[in-house]
Amino acid sequence: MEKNTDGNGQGCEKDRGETIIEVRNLTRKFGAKLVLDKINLSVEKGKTTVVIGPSGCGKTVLIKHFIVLQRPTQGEVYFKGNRVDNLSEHELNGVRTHFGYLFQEGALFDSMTVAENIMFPIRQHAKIRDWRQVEEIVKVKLALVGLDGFQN
Amino acid sequence: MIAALGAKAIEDVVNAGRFGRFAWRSATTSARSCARKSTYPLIWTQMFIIGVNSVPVIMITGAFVGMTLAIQAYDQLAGMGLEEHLGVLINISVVKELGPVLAAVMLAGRIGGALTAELGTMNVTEQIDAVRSMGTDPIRYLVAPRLLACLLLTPVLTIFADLMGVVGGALVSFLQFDINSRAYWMFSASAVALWDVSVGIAKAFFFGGAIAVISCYKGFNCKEGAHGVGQACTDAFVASFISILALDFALAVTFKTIYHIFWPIKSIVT
Repeated sequence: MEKNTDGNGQGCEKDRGETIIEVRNLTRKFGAKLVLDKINLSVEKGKTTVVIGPSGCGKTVLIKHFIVLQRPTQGEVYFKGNRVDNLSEHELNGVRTHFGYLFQEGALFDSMTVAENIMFPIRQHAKIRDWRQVEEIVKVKLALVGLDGFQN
Repeated sequence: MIAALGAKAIEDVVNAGRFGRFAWRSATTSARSCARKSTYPLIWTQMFIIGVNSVPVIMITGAFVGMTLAIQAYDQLAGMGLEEHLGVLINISVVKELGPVLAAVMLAGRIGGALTAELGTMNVTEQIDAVRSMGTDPIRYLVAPRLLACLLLTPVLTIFADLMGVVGGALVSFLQFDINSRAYWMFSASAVALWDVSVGIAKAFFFGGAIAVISCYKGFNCKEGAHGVGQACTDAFVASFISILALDFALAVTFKTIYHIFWPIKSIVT
């Protein structure tokens, strides 16, 4: 993985400038294999940041460090100015609720229906009294992407 | 060679530490989950899979253990004219040792393998990472319900195995060897105490915990691919089996010590 210092893209002008995610001198080794070598990167609010590289160069590993699914060998990860790579798993649960993360292979829960997959984070974090309302929202959201009728 | 041995020793110590941390986190998270109503539906589901679906196989195991013991022990006891004591030998063996141990071994194969394969597949398809990425503790969501279900239901399943072992042994004794049923039950009742049955059930509680923690740990740490999941299942069964035997020995010593401490007190009271 090459050292990267910036991304570029487009977004709302008023939101630009605020750093949401920052990595400093991020190094990651798997055994003797060096995958990330002192990466410095900022992801700013309102910008679309793209990480490009050949297969196997460590893009996924880098992005997993953003939500600390992997811990750096060296270096630091910050979310909204707060260091997160040294937090416990329990403390990280709160931080991770601010992220939406799409895995390479989807990582959908194959024991659940489409609707249950969408409802999973709501079930875990929200105290809902009327679940029919949530089911209705799921139906509407699925219809937006042309998947109405595939809830079950 | 010395370097390789040292590296292997360090790796084993690190793995033991990892397992210890996993087991501790599983135990504490499970204890906390008992107070969370939102976890109950997950526990019910696991109780059905682990408990209800295992009843037939556990009962068959128990019945054959009792029947085989009767066949094997009859000749020795009949040679000494003690065939009416056959029930003592069968029932004490079944409720104290063979029932809990063989039920646990059967569960390690049936439940442990399934737990490791399920969690291992979730691990290699990044579903466990997906749970974490949504701010949910995978130990609480995936391990705690399985551990609690195993802890609660292994003793219950052991009671089924014991019951069928006793019935199986009695049927062979009466029908095959024509032993007087009144004498058979009378000698059995005088020899098998509540303590013996309780020891077997208490052992099953620990066996259930060991099966669940080992199987979940192997699933969470399995290597990639179908081969990795298969290897994890094999490792989980072997580790569970050895743990059951080691725990059985340790618990037998512990319970015997406890019995000898309290036996004189019981004699004085009664």
